Amino acid sequence: MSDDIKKYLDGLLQKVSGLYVIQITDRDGVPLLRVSQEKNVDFALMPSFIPTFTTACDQASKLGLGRNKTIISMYSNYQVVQMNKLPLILTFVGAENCNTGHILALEHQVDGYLEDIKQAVTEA
Amino acid sequence: MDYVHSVWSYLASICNCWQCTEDPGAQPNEPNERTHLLVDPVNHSPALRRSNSDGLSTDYAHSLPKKDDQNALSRLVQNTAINMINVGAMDCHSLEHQEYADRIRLYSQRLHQQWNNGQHASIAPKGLLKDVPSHQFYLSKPIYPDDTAQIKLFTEKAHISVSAIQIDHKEAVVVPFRIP
Repeated sequence: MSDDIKKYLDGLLQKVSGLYVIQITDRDGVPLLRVSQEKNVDFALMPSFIPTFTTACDQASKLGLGRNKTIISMYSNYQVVQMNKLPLILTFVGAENCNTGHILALEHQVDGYLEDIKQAVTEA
Repeated sequence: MDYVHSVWSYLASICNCWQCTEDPGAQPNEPNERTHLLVDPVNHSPALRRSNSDGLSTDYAHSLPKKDDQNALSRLVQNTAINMINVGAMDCHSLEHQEYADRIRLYSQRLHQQWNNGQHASIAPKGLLKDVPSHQFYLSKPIYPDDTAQIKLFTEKAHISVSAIQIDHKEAVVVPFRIP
């Protein structure tokens, strides 16, 4: 399964210019699948970075803006798009000038696979 | 005579004023602008009563059973904890390295197992025409003369075949209805 999905995600990665990484993890940041280009973006894939997104989502909902499902973080060299697909978290890392709209549009193309991957996490 | 009359009227007006001030005293039950809205507000103020802890416990012991009091308190604490924005809690999520590795192995096993069971959804591309984000990349590529010649050949053939299409109608195109 992994090979097929990896191939599919790799295709998506090539579609969006400037996208470096697509990663699917559980809510604690344990990776299930990851495809990446030759780029050093380890900061966004550290085990401590992704769980922070879950907590930040929970805490940010108390600010009065309601529950959100996507957080986009822009840095000087990178952008990180994290999507809440509980029990999974979908993380995209791209260049700072990568088209964020194209990254967001990938959500629907990955959704079909996520249903299968969710089962692997919920059984745990 | 006029002087005496004016003095008399002055005295009469003073007497009327005294009567005015004495009226509320005569009818104490009737509310006026000096009546207190809250009866003895100082002694009944909740802030003051709260300071007296003995009084609080004895007062509420009669109104609420002990268990309900505890439940209400724990519910209040829970609600406060839920509604509080706790930035410090973000550092709490750290898995042990061993557990991290174990979970990676477990997930990969499950994914393999699931795929072998054939419960996967096959995702075919939903359309041929998709948005191409890096169009500069494709537009800057050179076009080979062979490709151009082939495309021209196909276009000519398509044009010839389209122009050769003829309609051979065998029945009348307009069908007359049998309207009397």
